[in-house]
Amino acid sequence: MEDDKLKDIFLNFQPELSSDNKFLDRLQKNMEVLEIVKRDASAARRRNVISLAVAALSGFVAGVIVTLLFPIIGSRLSAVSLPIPGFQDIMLNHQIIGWILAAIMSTFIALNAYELTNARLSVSGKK
Amino acid sequence: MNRGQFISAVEGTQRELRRFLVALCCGDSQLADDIAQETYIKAYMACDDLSGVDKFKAWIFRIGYNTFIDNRRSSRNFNSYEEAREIPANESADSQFRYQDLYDALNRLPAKERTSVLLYYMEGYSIKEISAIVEASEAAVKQHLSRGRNHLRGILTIDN
Repeated sequence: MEDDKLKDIFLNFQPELSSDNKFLDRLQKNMEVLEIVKRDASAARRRNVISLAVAALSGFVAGVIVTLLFPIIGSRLSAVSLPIPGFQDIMLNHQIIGWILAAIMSTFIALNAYELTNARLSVSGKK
Repeated sequence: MNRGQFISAVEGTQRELRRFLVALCCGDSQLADDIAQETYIKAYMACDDLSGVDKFKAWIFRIGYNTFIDNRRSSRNFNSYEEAREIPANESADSQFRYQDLYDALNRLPAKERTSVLLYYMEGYSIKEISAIVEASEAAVKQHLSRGRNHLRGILTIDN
């Protein structure tokens, strides 16, 4: 079979396709769905950035407050006495325990600030 | 590329792409349309990466070819082509019977040979352009084209 005959076969190949309008309408709908998803993803990214900023600030402020109050917290902790074996030995390290409690509290405040900010922004975004 | 430009580019290329995909899918126009839809959506997501509208057609054919290959990997395969032929055709497929011999012949070619033959003879792309579309070397494309041409000649001549 000559090369020209192969070319003719393919040049004359005109299969029946579905309507152009139907194809383009379907594509437009898919593109609109894609744009909605992109918008939502972009809004979620913005919410995350703001929530992280608020969480970082809240954690920092909580840390500063605890640091300023630490002498008071330390003296209160050293005065605590419980009838648990070895408790007094542990309380000799009351400063370390104080810092650990301060870190846990700051983290807890930061996490809650993140969740609350994210939830608030989600609700206000939907209005 | 903004949405308006993209839609214009789609309108200018969709018939050729769908025709190419129908041949690549050996007559399955529904599958070809699904692949074409997926191709354009992928292109829309990546259209900011395209440097010039004049390169759109070759770029869309490359995405279409890759989407076809991905679809082949993930789709259910028939055990034999004869099994597929036994599935009753719907009314709209009756008009496709005039190309049934061509589809049979194309189906017997490996995907790479089929693609090279279609891009060369149907779309008129050069070896260099085909190698950019299928992301293979020019030597490999020449080999696929030569083998595909010989296979096709052999099949169509024997059937005739």
